[in-house]
Amino acid sequence: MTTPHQWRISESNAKLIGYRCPKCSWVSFPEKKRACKRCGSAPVEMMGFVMKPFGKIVSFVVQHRLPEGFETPLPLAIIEFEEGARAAGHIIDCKLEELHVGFEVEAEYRIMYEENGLTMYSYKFKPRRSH
Amino acid sequence: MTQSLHKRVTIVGGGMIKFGELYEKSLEDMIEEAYLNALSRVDKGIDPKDIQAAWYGTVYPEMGNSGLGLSHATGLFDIPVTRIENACATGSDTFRNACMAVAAGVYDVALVVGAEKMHDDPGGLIQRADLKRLWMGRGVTMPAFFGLHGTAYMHKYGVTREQVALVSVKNHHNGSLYPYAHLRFECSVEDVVKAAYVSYPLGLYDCCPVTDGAAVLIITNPKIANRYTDTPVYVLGSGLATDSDLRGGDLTSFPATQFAAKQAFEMAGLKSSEIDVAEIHDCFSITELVSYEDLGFAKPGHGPELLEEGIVSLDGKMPVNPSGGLLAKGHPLGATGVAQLVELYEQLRGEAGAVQVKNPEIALQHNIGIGRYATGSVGCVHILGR
Repeated sequence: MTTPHQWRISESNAKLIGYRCPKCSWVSFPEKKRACKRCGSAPVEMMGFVMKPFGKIVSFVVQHRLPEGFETPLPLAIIEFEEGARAAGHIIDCKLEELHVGFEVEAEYRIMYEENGLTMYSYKFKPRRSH
Repeated sequence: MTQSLHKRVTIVGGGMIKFGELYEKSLEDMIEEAYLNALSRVDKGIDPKDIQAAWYGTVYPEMGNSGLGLSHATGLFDIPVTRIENACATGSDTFRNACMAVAAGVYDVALVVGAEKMHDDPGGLIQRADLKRLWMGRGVTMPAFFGLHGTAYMHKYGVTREQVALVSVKNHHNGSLYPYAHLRFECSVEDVVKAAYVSYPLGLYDCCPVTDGAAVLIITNPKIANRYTDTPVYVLGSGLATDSDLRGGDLTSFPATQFAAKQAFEMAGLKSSEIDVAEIHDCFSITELVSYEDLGFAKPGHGPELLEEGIVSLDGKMPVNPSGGLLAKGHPLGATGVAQLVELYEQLRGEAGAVQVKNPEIALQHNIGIGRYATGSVGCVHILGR
């Protein structure tokens, strides 16, 4: 991960902006694309929209062995947002026993890590409490 | 398809080194040893000057690594040497690229080298797992990538950890008999499920070790194979595909493997039921189980039956990973695919010693690579025949 990468996706990362393919409805996140990753249509004009911070767990693991600097056990999941976009995310404020495929989660803006003296913010996922 | 690899390439020699934690050997030493083993095992002998071009598969070395590493190790200078990388499927894609050139008639004799020096890097693979990325592959290490598929698969089909563990038990048994394997011990289902978790649902014995190794193949145009041997092995089919978990799907399969298998079976004109022996990518126990289904050996959710009924055991109807697979033999990334092919070359020629399966005629090799921040996979499949 480099700072230029963070800069390139900074707006989508902060506002949860997804980009929908007009041909197959697949949602790209966080990158705006002109070639669709799902249907291969190119060029396509993907329209950006702010996604709701809600989704469900497609699958998860609990990381037990990580390098220094990471707290374990660390639950990690593939999340599918309600609008269809997918991303990997850390799960917080959740008992390990609660985790299951299909678990409804809510994205929350948190500190992720420090890099080059900068604090990197992004979303983590907690059990969905609001609607 | 206007062109096909089908029966346009023959393997006439193969060699590898004993895999392991080889601190005493450099990458160059390992390649040299595997190369000399391959030369010495060509039935009618081969002069290094016969080799017209070489392909070199390796992942780890620093950026800018070139074909020159192969030349330094083998003394093969002044000929084309191409370096290939395609994550953990590097070795298979290296072979595939060499086959393309021979099938196209550009070269009659080519060398394929796959090698990886994993123990010279003190940080190891985990440091490359992009734990600090934003979104794409965030925190997904290799055990996590396959663990995500494990959780989804076990959830959907009600498969237990004990059933998944049967892969490790089988492969460690085979590895205990295979002279080139890194880990040569047996383990029980209880050992596997009680071991410490690496990335739930995967424990220590569900994971392949970190291994150094090298493997080499010599391939030719079939028209001149008899200069080197009377019993060459033919490439019948080959396939390669990519897929991303971000595109959709429920993570209970590896679509890249399915597409690669479809290409390879169509090229070979064969069905999965016609395979006699297979080397299947088992970087983790769950990977082999899911791959049975992706390769068409079992219907979705029915993979465990192949283990429970002994079909994939060494003495079964279609033994899988007689070499012990990646779980026991080890997984030196660039060497892995080439070593699988070396093993199947020996199997088809009846030279596999303690792990020889009964009179196989058709063999399948399957290798998965993970790339692009662990967001998806590359699948590669080859079908070989006598």
